[in-house]
Amino acid sequence: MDPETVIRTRNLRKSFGETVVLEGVDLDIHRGESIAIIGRSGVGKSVLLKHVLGLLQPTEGDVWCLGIRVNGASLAELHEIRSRAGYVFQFAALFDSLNIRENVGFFLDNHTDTPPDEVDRIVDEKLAQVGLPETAHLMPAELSGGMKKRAGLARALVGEPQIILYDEPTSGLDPITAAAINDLINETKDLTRATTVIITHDMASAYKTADRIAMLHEGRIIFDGTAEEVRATENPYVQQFIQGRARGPINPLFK
Amino acid sequence: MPRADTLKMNTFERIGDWLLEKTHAVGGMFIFYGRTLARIARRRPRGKLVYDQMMRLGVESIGVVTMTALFTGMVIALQSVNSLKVFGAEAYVGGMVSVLFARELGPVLTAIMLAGRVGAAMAAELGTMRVTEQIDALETLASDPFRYLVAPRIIAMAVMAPALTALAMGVAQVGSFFVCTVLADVDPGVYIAELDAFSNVWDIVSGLIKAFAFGQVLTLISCYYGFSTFGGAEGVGRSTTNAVVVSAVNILIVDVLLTTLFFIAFD
Repeated sequence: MDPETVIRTRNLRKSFGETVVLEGVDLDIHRGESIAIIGRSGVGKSVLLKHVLGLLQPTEGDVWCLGIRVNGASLAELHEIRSRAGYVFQFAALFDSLNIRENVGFFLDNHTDTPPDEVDRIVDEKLAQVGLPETAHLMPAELSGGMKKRAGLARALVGEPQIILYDEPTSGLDPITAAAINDLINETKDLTRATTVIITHDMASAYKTADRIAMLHEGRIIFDGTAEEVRATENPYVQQFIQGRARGPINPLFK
Repeated sequence: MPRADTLKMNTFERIGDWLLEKTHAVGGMFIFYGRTLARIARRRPRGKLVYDQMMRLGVESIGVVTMTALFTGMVIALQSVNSLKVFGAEAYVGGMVSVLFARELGPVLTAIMLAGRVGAAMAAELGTMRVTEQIDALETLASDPFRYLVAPRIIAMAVMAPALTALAMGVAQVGSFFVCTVLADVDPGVYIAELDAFSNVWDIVSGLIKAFAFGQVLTLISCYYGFSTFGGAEGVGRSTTNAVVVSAVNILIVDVLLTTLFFIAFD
C-alpha cells in the first residue's frame, strides 16, 4: 500500500443484527489531508469512523490504518495504531471518575514511563493549546459542553497523534462556540500536521475545516471531492443535503 | 442471534429462539470470563484499581452483610428454639445455625445481597460508560477495558465474597447465641458445647468455596450486562435489572450444582 495513504477501506460492510449500516464503503485518506465525511444522522458516519481504530469490526471487507490491517489485527497491533491516533468523541467521553488532569494524562500515565511531574507539564501544555488553562483540577461534570470537547481534544493530542478523528465536533454547540471549535481544529491541524478526519452534518464546519468532503448516504460514499466541487456538483442528493432542503431525492422521514 | 419477528413464530420456534438467545448469552459470558482471566494472567491490573474495588465492593458492603446475617441468624434461632423446646432439644439450635450458615445461608444470603448492592452498581456504572462512549475512549487510548475495568472487579470479588461470607457465618452465630441464651434461657456453656460438637471445618470450607463461585458469577454477569448495554438511560436501567435478576437466579442454580457436587464427592 502507498505509504501516503494512511487510512483505506475496501468494500467495508457492517450490519448490526439485521440492520445493514454500511454497504460497501471504499475510501482512501492521504497523509496530511483533512477530510470531512458528511451525511444525515444515523447514516453510519460514526460507525465508519469507529472501524478505523478497530472499535468495531467489519461484517465484510477490509480496513487499513497506518499500514496495519485493522480487521483481524491482534490487540498489540490495535494498541500500536491507537497510540498513534487521537479520537475526539461527540460528547467528549471524558472519564467521570477522573479529573481533567487524569483524563488528559491518561495515556501517558498508563502507557509510558513519563514521570508524573512531566505528565503534569504536558497536560498543562495541551490544555493551554486547546484554550482550557487552569482547569486540570476540575471534574468533567464541572465543565460546559464546549469545554468538554476541548478537554477531549487535549486528551487525544497527548500522544502526539499522526491522525486525529473528530466525531461531530460542533454538534450541540451554539454557533459561536462551534466557530471557535472549528478554529481550534484548524489550529491543531497547522500545529501538528496530523491527518484530520471530521464526521459532521454541519456544512459550515465542513467548509471551514476540510479540504476534501465525502458524502455518506445509504451505506455508501456517493460523492467525494473538494469543497468547490461539492458546491458545484449537480448530484441532487448532495445538493439537497448541503442546502438543507426537505424536498428532493432524499426522503426526510426515512433513513 | 435471536430472530426479530417473534410474533410470526409457532410455539416450537419460540422455544428454539429462546434457547438460542440464552445459549448465545451464556456463550458470550464464558468468552468474556475467559478473556478477563487471560488478560489477568498476561499482565496483572494496577494494584490501586484492585484496592479501590476491594473497598467499594467489599469493605463498603460490611454493613449490609452484617445486618442481614445478624437478623437472619436471630429469626432462625427464634423459630427453631420454640419448636425444639417441645423435644427438650433447644440446646442444639447453635449447632443447627452453624451448619445452616456454613453450608448454605452464609454464602447464598451474602451473594444475593452483593448482587443487589454491588452487581447493580457495576452494571449501571459500566453501562453508563458504554453508552457515553467512555469504554470506546479507553480503547482509543490504547487501554484494554478488560484489564482496566473488569479484571480489578473480578480479583477484588474473589477475595471479598469469601471474606464477607465468613463474617456472615460469625455474625449469624452471635444473633443466634443472643436469642437462645437471653430470650430462651439456654445455658451458654451448653450452647457452646453443642455448637462445637456440630461444627466442622469442611462445612465452612465448602461454604467459602461456594462464596468464591457466587462472587465470580455475579461479577461476571454484572460486568457482562454493563458492557453489552445499548440505548441510553433506558438501556442502563435494563442492564441493571438484568444484572441483579440474572445474578440472583444463577447464584441459586450454581448453589444446587455445587451442593450436588460436594455430596457426590465428599459424603
